[in-house]
Parts: sequence; C-alpha cells; structure tokens
Amino acid sequence: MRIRQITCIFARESHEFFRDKILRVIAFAMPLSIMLIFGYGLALDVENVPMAIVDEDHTPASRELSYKFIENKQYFDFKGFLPKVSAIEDGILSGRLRFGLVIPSRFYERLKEGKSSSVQVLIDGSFPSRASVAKTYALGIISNFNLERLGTMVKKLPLRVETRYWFNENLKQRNITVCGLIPIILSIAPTILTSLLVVREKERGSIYNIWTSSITKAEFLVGKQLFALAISMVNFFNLFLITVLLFRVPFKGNFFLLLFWGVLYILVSTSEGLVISCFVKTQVVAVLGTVVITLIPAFLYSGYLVPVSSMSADAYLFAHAFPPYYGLSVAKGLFLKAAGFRTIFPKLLVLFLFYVIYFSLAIHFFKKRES
Amino acid sequence: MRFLALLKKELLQFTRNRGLVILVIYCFTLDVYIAGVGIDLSLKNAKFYAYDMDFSAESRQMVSKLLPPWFAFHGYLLNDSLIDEVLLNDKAIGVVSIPSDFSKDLKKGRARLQLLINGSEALMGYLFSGYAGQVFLDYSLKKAGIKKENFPIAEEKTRVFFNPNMDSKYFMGISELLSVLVMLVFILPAAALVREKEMGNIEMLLISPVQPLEFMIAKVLVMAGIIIVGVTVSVFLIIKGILAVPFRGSFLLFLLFTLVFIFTTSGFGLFIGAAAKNMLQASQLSILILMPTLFLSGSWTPIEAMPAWMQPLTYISPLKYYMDASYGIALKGVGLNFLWPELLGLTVLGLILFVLSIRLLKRVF
Repeated sequence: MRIRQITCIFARESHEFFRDKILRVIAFAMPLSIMLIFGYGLALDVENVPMAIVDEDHTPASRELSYKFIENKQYFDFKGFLPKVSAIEDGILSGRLRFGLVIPSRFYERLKEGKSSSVQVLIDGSFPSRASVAKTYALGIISNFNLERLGTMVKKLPLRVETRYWFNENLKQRNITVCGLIPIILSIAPTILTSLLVVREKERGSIYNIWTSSITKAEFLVGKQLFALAISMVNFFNLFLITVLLFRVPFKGNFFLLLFWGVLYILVSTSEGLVISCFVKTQVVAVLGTVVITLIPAFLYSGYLVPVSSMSADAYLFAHAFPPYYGLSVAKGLFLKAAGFRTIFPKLLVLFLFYVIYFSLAIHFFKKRES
Repeated sequence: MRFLALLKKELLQFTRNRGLVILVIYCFTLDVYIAGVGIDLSLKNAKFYAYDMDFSAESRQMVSKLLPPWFAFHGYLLNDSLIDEVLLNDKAIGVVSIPSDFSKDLKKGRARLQLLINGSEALMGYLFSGYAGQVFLDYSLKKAGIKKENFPIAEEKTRVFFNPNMDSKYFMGISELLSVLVMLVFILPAAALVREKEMGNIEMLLISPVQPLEFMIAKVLVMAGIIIVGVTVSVFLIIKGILAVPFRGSFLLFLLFTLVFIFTTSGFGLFIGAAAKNMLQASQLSILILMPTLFLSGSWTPIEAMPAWMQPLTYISPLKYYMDASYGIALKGVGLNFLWPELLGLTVLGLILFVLSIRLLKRVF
C-alpha cells in the first residue's frame, strides 16, 4: 500500500468532482433533501384520521359518545355527521374517510334497560398499521365512555395499569424517525456515489490507464473509497447538525462514539458500492442495482419501521444479513439511550466484519485485465 | 420504418445488457416478494418479558393474558437491571412489571401493574401499550364483576374494509411494486439518454435524419413495453399467486393507469437525462427527485398525516394519483366512476411534464 498512489487517485477524483458544477451541488443536496422531506413529513403517529359519524339514535347518550370522538381532535379529524352507513362506505371507498362510527337506534334504550348495546366501527384497511392504531384509539374512547357511565356502579377497578415509555418519554415519534434517518441515508447516498466510481472508468475506457499502471488493486480502490468517505463525512456532519439543531432531537450519547460509528458505517456503505461497481459492466446497472439493493434493507429491514425483534423468522435472518440493522441500532442507541461503548461494541464489530468482507469482495471482483 | 428500426435498436440494447435484464426481473419478482412477505406493520409476535416480584398464581395469569399471535412471551427477568438490558438492546418491545403483593392487592381491589415500553420502537411501542392496556382492562372489568352483556355499556364491533385481517402483505406488496416501477421509469430513460451522451452517440443522432422527439418516444415506448410485461408477471405471479393478495378490480384498468403513469413519469426521467451530463449527475439527480416523489405519494405517510404545508405538494407527485388508483383498483375494486379524478390529474400533470422536458431537450440537442 503506497500512500502516493492512493493520494493520486484521491486527488484525481476530487478534481473531477469539483469541476463538475452540477455534481458538487447535488452530492450534498441529495442527502439533505431526503432528511428534510422525511424528517418533516414522515409521521408514524396516527393523527388527524378523517372520520365521520352516523348517529341513528339521537339521544343524550349517543351524542355523548359522539362528542367523545369529536373532542379527540389530535387523533380524529371530524368531517361531520352523515345520514346513513352507506355514506361512510362511499367515503372510505373514495378515500375521503378512513374511519366511521355508527351508533344504532335503540342505543340509549338498551343502555337504559341495563343491557349492552353495540356500536359499529368502520375502518379503512388499506394502511394496515394505521387501521390497527385507529382501532385501539376507538377501543380506548369507548372504554372511557363505559367507565364514566359505570362510574357510580363500580367504585374502583381492581387493577390499574401504568404505562411508562423508556428512552423517549413522551413517545415522540419524530425523535425516532429523524435520528433513524441518519443511518438510512448513509446506507444509500455513499453507496450510490461509490457504485459509479469504478464502472464509470470501465465504460469510458479510462480503466486501461489503471490496468497498465503499476498501481495495485487495493491502492486503487482505497483511493476511490477515501474520496467517497470524504464527501460522505461532510454529509454526515450536515445530517447530524440538522438532526440536533433543526429537529431538536436531543443527543444523549457520546459524540466521539457517533463519529467513530459514522466513519465505520460509511466505510461499509462505500465498500458495498465498490463491490457493485467492480462487479457490473455498465453504469445503468450499477445505479439501478444499488438503489434496489440498498433501499429495501435500509427502510424495511433495518428496524426503522418495524422492530426486528418482532419479525417473522426469515425476515429476522434477512435483517441480520445486512448492515443497516446494526447501523440503525447503534445510532438509535447513541441518540436516544445514551448507550455506552460496551453496549454498542458487538454491533460495531459486526459492521467492521461487513467492511472487511465487502472490501475483500471488491478486490476480488476488480480485474486488472480484460475479462 | 425508421421508427421501427429505432424500436429494434432500443430493444436490442436492453436485452444485450444481461445485468440490466436480470435486475429488472429481480425488481418485479423477488424484490416485491421480499418486501411483501417480511414486513408486518401490525402488532404481531411482539416480544415481551415479565419482571414478576410477586410470583403468584394471579401474577402468572397476568402474563398469560398476553397471547400470541399478537404477543410473544420470552421469559421472566430475575432482577430489574435486566429490564434495562433487554430494552437497551432492543430485545423486547415491552416488559410487564408486577410488584410484590400483587395478588394481595388484587383481592383488596387496588392492584397495580406496570407496562414498560421500549420507546425507541415507535409504532410497535404504541400498539403494544394499546393492546395490552385493553387486555388488562377487560380483565379488570371481569374481576369487578362486570359482565359485558348484562351491563349498560357500549360494545364495539369493528369492520375493517378491504383488508379484514389488516394483513400487511396487501399493502406492502402493492406499494413495493409501485415503488420499483417508479424507480425504473425514472432511471431507465435517464440512463439511456446519458449513455448516448457519454458514448458520444448523440453527435451521430444530431446529424442523422432522426428527430429528437422520435428518438425519445422510441426509448419510452420500449421501456413501457418492458414494464407492462414486468407488471403483469408481478401481479399474477407474485402478488396474486404467491402473496395471495386479492386483486379485486379490473386488471385492464390498472394497465391503463400504468401506461399513463409511465408516459407522465418518463417526462421526469427524460428531464434528468437531458439535464445531466454524466451518470454520476444523473444518479444523484434521479434520487433527488425520486425520494420526494415516493414520499409525497402518500405511500409512507397518508397525506392527511403530513404537515399542512406539505399536503398541497402531494399533487405534483404523479405517483400519488397512480398509487390511489392502484389501491382503489386492487384492494377496493372500484372502477373509473370513482377514479376519473386520478386519471385526469395524472394526464394533466403528465402533459405538463412532457412538454417541459421536450422543450428542455430541444435546447440540449
């Protein structure tokens, strides 16, 4: 490994990068735009569910129950009373409504007779996770209504449940979604950048210069990787600053650990990009392949949307076979849980292994001759 | 004739790039399968531990109330530092903590129980506490001697439309197919165009009698053909076949929407191809436009849950119209009488985009 050769490749890439007026802007703008759009827009909280009520009973009790739903402005966005059930069904079919409550006639009468009376809850199931959250809201509101009505009959319930959220006291989803975006973006952006660095030379033909020069495969790839690392570290700092300053996510952990993690994680992503770049023959395949290969593990199998611990057995294995799970887990640990070195060490070790494996694969696939 | 030759050229160029062919096949099959089968956004199999200081019949009964398939009990923790450890390492969504004297208190009617939720698991944490809270409330009502039928209370009966079991496969499978499709529509024409530039072929085109528009349309047509085949295979083989998601509406209507969508969105792709000078630029630019398009479609977060300033922006994402239409056709089984606004929106947006990118292209050529 000779330093001069590596710096030479590094300098060459940097020159090309900074001469490219468009590229030198987008390479930094792209990660930021993902951060801003997802950071502001991605809402895992289920709020403002558009809802309508059909009250066939028109009694104090039915109004009381209706108002319990209407008052709950944070969860439900009340669109109005509708005359009949089919109107709610139409609303759900056309996508204007996601939730409907139907209070049947004789609702109050049955309650007065001391019998239970059923109300119907209609939910749009096209977003399954939201449907199930909306259902728990409805259950909660109805239980609340029941408890108030029973207030005089039952003095006290024998069992009370207290719920406490650890690490993220108010269950502020934004803290989780925003700090989780850092590893996700860092597993996509650097990989895409690097995935073109080698194949570009193959397609242009400038790779012949490398084949005939005395530079070794490792020197060549390290030079390329260091260039991508430098660009991505700028992005890493940008993302961190936005998270902490703009989104005001408290950073509870040790910054140097996060920095160390950042370098290691970017090395993994860029090595993955190098593998793709050395393996494929055209840039189209490199870009498309990288997007396809990185996007799904990063968003779906990292534990960002669904906890890995509750995945089905094969999905669980699949999640463990890709770096984003480890990356996200460390980032969340440092941001939200103030995790120490001992806690995150096993995961950093796995990331290091990914780096070694990917980089060796890149060297293996990179041929210094016509194949 | 000349046009046919152009079509043949594009088709040959595609089929000869074996990597690309394999990748496109992967996108429409395995990729959709992986996304559809692995991810479940409802509460299933939520791991929890119990920290039981009472260890009585009653306290064990509490733990056994949290049943599969929603919950998965993973064992007792013997001291409270372990609570910290399982939650810190994301080994569980929650821990049920039962104080000593629980059974005595329960007899006196003043028992308490704690649910400790891993707050770093956003959605599941909420669902866990919601479901578990409900389970314990039911138990508590029963213990207080309240039988639901005989008491004047409201009972809910839930009817979930389109997806009665709230099965995530329905959502994820279709959503992934659409995302893959957008990706292809964005990247393929852009890449094809940039490639001509990088190879220098564009010069030859300029002096040839082929009109730029003709050339573009040939590229888009061939891509549309490939995507239509891919979508058909994906819907019948993967979504209906393996994932067993019902496809309720008319497949032909879906294909019509797909075609319109391809033509509108390829405007974006051509735009990128025209603006970018090399693949590095094109790749970064396409991600820069792709991610907002994906996000603003409402497939990640429904539009009503987005911040107010962002909601109007969703109208410029062609994927929004296509996504709404696809869910409408596939899951709800509705027809054009419900979906004409989407078709109109998609067409208008597409025309604007196409005209814009043709103008830009003319400047580049």
